[in-house]
Amino acid sequence: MEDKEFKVIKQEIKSLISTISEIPQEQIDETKDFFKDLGIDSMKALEIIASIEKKYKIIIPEEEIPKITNLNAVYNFIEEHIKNK
Amino acid sequence: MQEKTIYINKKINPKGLKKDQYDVIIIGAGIGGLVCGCYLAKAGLKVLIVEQHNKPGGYCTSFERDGFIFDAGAIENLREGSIFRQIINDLDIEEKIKIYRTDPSIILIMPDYKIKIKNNTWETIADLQDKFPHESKQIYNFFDFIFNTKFPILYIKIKNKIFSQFIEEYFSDKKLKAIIKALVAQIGVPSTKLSTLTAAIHLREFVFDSGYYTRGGLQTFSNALAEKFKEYGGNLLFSNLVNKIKIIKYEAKGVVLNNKINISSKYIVSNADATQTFLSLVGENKLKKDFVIKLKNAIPSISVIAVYLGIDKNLKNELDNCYELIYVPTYEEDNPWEEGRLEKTPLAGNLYCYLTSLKDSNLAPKDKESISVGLFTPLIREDYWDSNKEKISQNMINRIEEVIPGISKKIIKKEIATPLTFRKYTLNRDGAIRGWAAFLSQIDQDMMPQKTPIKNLFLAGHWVSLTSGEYGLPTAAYTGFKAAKIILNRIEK
Repeated sequence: MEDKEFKVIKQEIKSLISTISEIPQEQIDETKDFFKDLGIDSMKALEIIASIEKKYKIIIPEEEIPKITNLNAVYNFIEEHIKNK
Repeated sequence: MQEKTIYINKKINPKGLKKDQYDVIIIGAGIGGLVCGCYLAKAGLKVLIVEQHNKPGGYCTSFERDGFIFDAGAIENLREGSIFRQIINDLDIEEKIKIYRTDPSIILIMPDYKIKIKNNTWETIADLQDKFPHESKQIYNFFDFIFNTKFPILYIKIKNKIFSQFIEEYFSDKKLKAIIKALVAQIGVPSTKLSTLTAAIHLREFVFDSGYYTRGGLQTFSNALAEKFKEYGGNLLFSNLVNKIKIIKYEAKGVVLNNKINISSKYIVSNADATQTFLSLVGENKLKKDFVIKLKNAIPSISVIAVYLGIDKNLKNELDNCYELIYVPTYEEDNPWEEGRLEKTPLAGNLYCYLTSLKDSNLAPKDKESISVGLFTPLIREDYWDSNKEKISQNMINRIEEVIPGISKKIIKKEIATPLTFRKYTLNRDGAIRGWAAFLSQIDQDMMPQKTPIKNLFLAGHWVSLTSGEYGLPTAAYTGFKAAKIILNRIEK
């Protein structure tokens, strides 16, 4: 997969999260524990997760969960997933 | 005579709007409609809310009989950090709403146990551990997982897991399992059809972080929103039924009221029953066959038979002054959908009691109490209730007598509401109390999204499906807020 395409995906995810959480994109820190730091409530949090899952048609296996601690990890997971398709 | 041109916001409508033209028409003044209307009107749009009832709120209403004030329905969820708090803050209605919290927030009464849900979650859990010492470690593990797991992980691990199976993985004590199931029974779905995710969110946000109420009853909340909507310049039309949504080339253009009056608008938000919105107001011929089939096959949530009682007795200092009492008379799990359940003797099923005046003495005359008791049931049949409602309500009172002895002799006022009553006042399909039934098969945000197949028509309210299976007021408020955001984003573009 080309880097350019991956950039687009990163931007899409960030924009989706920003729209649902109403947190400006520039305030979203990709290295931090997103759900913990932003204290998102269950409705918004689950909407974000389900939307990402549906948009990229991914199912995150249980054993991958511990690795996904921040947004960068989410991007990486999706990149891997799309590459292996 | 030339019609007067109205300018609400010159930036949005540089040419102004005519008297019967709006930016947005909202069908229904339930919480979803009111919240949506407030955000839109606050942003400067010309908004009309049309409500068939003579007061705002939908299920979030109260009524008065001889000085006794009862909440018609709806459980509040005003916990700190909730979407409600954000809305109250955004719309600047703190002044009008006095929120308080009771401790304990809920008392669950089982045949041999009385479980107090205290404000301090881990105190409640420690109490359960004391009652079931042989399951102590597993009780800790269970609640630690439910409370301390982040949402994405909950979603991945337990969304597709059936709750009854999940409980089996943790506990072996039959009575303990029954207690855990009873704590989530208010969702109205048997644990064999319930997603563990829905159950977990319910335990976190509706059971253990509950007990928040507004002084003056639920109507206070709806009234505050309605007043705010008018302050922002919104127009609220009561006792008017929308008969048709005008659609030209698959685009919503306005509504026709029962009295044939035509009102046009750029956008429509339906806070009304989703099935009727599409099948009656839009019309089957404007929709794809698949969509119509999906709509007809979807299963609405449970309804309720409620008994509202005026009691000639001061019950203060009894029942720990707890506002909410859940009485579960047997260890066998209640399945509100079971056929013939209401005919059993003694009456089967969990009873939900709200002793509204214990904490808010304005809700009943002096030294008297207002109590409402609810029992879940489907609508069954149109002709079922006239001949059965008296007997069932008497059986409900007999059951409550087991928990509050002597109460049946002190009743001086009694009102019964059946699923037909709830349907009549809210027009919800089958008198459903919280949108679609939260079966695992129906908790998907794509099942009934806010964006509809009709251009410029959006849904708000509890018929919008959410991933968590959350329901009732939080869903109504959240989707009302989101419908406003969708429209405002489109206008900006």
